[in-house]
Amino acid sequence: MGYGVNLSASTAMILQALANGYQYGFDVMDITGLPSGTVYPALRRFEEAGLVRSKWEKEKVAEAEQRPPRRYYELTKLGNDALREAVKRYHFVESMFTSLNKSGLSES
Amino acid sequence: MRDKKGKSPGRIYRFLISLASLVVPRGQRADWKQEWNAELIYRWSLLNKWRTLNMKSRFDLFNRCRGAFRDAGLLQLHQLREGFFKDVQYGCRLLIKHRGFTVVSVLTLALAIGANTAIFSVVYHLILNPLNIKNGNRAVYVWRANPKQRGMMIAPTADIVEKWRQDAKSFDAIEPYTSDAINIVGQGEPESLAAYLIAPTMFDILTEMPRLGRPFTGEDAKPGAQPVVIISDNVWKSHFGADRAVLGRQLTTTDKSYTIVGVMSSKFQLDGRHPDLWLPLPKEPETNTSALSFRSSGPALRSVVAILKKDVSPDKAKAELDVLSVQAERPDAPFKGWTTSLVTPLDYLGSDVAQALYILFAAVGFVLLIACANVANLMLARNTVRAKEVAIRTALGAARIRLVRQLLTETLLLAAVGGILGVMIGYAGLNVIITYGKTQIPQLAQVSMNAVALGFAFGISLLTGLLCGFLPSLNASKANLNDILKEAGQSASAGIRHNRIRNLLTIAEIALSLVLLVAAGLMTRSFIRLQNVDLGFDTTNTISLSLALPKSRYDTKPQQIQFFQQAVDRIRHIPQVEVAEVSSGIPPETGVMGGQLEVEGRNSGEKLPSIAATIAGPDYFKVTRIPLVQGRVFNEKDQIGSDSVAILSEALARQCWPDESAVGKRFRFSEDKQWTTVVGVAGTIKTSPVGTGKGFYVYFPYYQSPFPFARIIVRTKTDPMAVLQSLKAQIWAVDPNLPITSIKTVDQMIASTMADRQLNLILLSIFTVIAVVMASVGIYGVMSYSVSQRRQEIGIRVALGAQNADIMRSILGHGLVLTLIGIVLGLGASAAFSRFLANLLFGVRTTDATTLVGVSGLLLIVALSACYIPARRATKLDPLTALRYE
Repeated sequence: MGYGVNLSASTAMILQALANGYQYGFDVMDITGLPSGTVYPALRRFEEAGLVRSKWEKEKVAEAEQRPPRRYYELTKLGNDALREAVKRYHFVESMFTSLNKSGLSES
Repeated sequence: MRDKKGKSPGRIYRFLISLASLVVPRGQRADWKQEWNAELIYRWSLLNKWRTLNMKSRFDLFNRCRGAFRDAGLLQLHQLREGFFKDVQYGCRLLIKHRGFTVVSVLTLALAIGANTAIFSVVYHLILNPLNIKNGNRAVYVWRANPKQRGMMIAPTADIVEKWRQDAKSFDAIEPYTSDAINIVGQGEPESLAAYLIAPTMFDILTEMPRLGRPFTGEDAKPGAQPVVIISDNVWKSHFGADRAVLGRQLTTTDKSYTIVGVMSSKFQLDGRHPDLWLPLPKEPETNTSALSFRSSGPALRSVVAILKKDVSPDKAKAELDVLSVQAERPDAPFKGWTTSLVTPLDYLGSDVAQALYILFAAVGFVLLIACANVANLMLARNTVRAKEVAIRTALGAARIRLVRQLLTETLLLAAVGGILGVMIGYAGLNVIITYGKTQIPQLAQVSMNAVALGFAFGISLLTGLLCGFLPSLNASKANLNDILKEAGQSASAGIRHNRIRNLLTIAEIALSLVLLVAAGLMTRSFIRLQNVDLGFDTTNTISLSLALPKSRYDTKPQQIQFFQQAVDRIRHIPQVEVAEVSSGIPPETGVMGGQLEVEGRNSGEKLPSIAATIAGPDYFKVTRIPLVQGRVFNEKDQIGSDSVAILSEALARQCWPDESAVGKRFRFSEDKQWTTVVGVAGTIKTSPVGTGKGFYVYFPYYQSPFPFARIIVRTKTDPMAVLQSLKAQIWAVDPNLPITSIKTVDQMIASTMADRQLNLILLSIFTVIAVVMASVGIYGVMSYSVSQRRQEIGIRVALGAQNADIMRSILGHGLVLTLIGIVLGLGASAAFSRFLANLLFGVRTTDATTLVGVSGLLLIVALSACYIPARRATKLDPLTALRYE
């Protein structure tokens, strides 16, 4: 089945990161080790293909921390399907995150 | 953004993000910037909180900012791609919707692009890359030139060429070749095929290889080697039915049998000729049998094509060859003291042909400009209709660049379709030009539409698209919603700005077509003049049959004389034949080269003309009807062993003995020992209507200096072609194995001397007709549009009592003004352009008033006819309908 994006290893890693709750661009970069020039364009492609949707953080949360709201990404149903498909090809992706503490760098 | 002191990341990061954001499409820019800034601020605050804001983490942030540029760039690219597809899609829809507009524009562009591509192909092959030789741009023909006589050249002797090949350092290759006629027997009528003898090394520099079989090897040229031949594509098809099993078969001549080892590619040519056969050039030079040395048999001559080394100037190479020639020359060699001359393929083609090609190229360039103006005009008209749409889109926030892009995409689409169709038209046109023109310009046969020509077509299509789209799209995107809506209410004065541009474009079209019309007009008049030139001889009902007596059976002069006497005698007895004779040539194909003249009793250092000599039997002047002015014609007493006699042309006689009769005077060629007595003076002839020669001719009696390569010339009472079979039969009755190398009537020869002019004229006329048709379509379009714009005004006028004639006058008046301005500008432009025509004209000046007035009048009539239809439509307007028209 086609997902409108190329199911490469980095695609699989980014999708898995999102599934594991690393939902901000910088967090995805931290956890996957991929550079910003790869992660952001991938997120834009995923969003266009309907694999993820992006939302803005609640104003109140951002205001409380005296910073602008951040944009976060979450997997859609199609995105979950694509992830399953990708994991079949790249088994290592699934195990990559199991050893990591989910909280990671994200505190929001 | 609400940053707090201490929490804000360094300025450098924010600057980088701001910089990158400039690349992001406008619509997404704010969100994109916020996303990046928010991440940076958040990360900065975390690092602060954890007290890990060190060099390493700062560098990491910097790296992340670098990635932002890629992110931004990809977004912009994506947007552009999407936009382009949308533009193309939208453009296609519009073009399909406005079918009439699309068809007219595409056809206009296709014709122009097709004409340009075809002529470009010819120019490319004949001028830019004329030889099938590797590094052809450095290729030259090498000749020996008489330093005392401009333009007099001869091929170098074989021993000089051998010396060059051994010692010259200025060339990558020096390749000799020579031509010969090979008499083929055993396949129906005996036949003479044109052969080129080439050194086997020639294949190292050629871009074309035999299409079948192998090239020559060094072994083939060694003495005693088995005779081999490579046949041309033509002979392969005509004599062997394109049989692939031809290799190994035999080609039999009167004295040898050659094994066929290859079939040459049809494109191959060496100096514009396409010989039938190629033979290996033997290493040992044979004595010369060339037609050039009829008075003495000299050393063998070799034509030479050479490739200059990369950084060697032609002057330096020439100097080197001059030194080597002096070293190689034997003391008794003829043409001593002649210098080397390097001739480029372009010079070889003839400056007239090249100039004519440039003029045709300019002509098709004009056609392209007219086509662009036409399409731009149509676009402007359509854009006026679309003005509202464009204005509303602008008002809704569409960027101007976006609109220009959309409109340009449409013209580029038109140009692309026009280009594809144009290449097809060009391909067909080129084939017509080649088929029609290759007999006159043999080099045309190698012309084809190659990748370079296709690239050129692509280039001009792109340029055309930009050219005819730029002005209209810029103009349309300037549109202001206010103005447009205002104009809609009062269409009588609508689109004044548009009209001005459209009028200007129309004027330009008319001016450009007039330039072409003037050129075509001048060429036509010149051509008509040429056909009425008195040549000094009678061309009707005369035919020439060329023969080459083979050395094996006609080695001695008495043998040659005997053959021709018998053959001519038999032909004279054919009832339809008026008179027949043997000669070395017949005007316009006059004989062999003479040499430099020396008059008895005159200082030998005096400069006298070099002249063409014809060897002719006694009845030569009866066949050609060249009048004898003084003295006598040749008779049977002028034979081998008797005093050498000659007849001079009047012009030559006057040049040599200005104040006295030439009869009885003596002269000789500088290489001769004995003196020749002038026995008669004949009328001066012109070998071609365009000939610029001075008419210096000398005639020698055939039976005194016989010659194995001669013609039988015949004047018949009826059409000579009808007698041809009897003529052949009488020749073969004397020698059944003798091929007739060439059969031509004199009328055909005359026509062929003018054929390249005729071809130029026809092509130029075609382009001119296209240009005029396009220009009249242009003016028709402008006038129809203006009539539809003025409907209300016309309606009011009619309602107020204006007569049909008034309306007609008003519309035609507008057209007349445009046309007259165009004509005045066109006359000015053609004064500049026609200068380049001057060399190609004959008996007509570039300022010829009849032509200028004639073509201006013609253009005026055509333009006014184009205005007449819309004007008539205007008079038919019903005032009520017109007034209701919004």
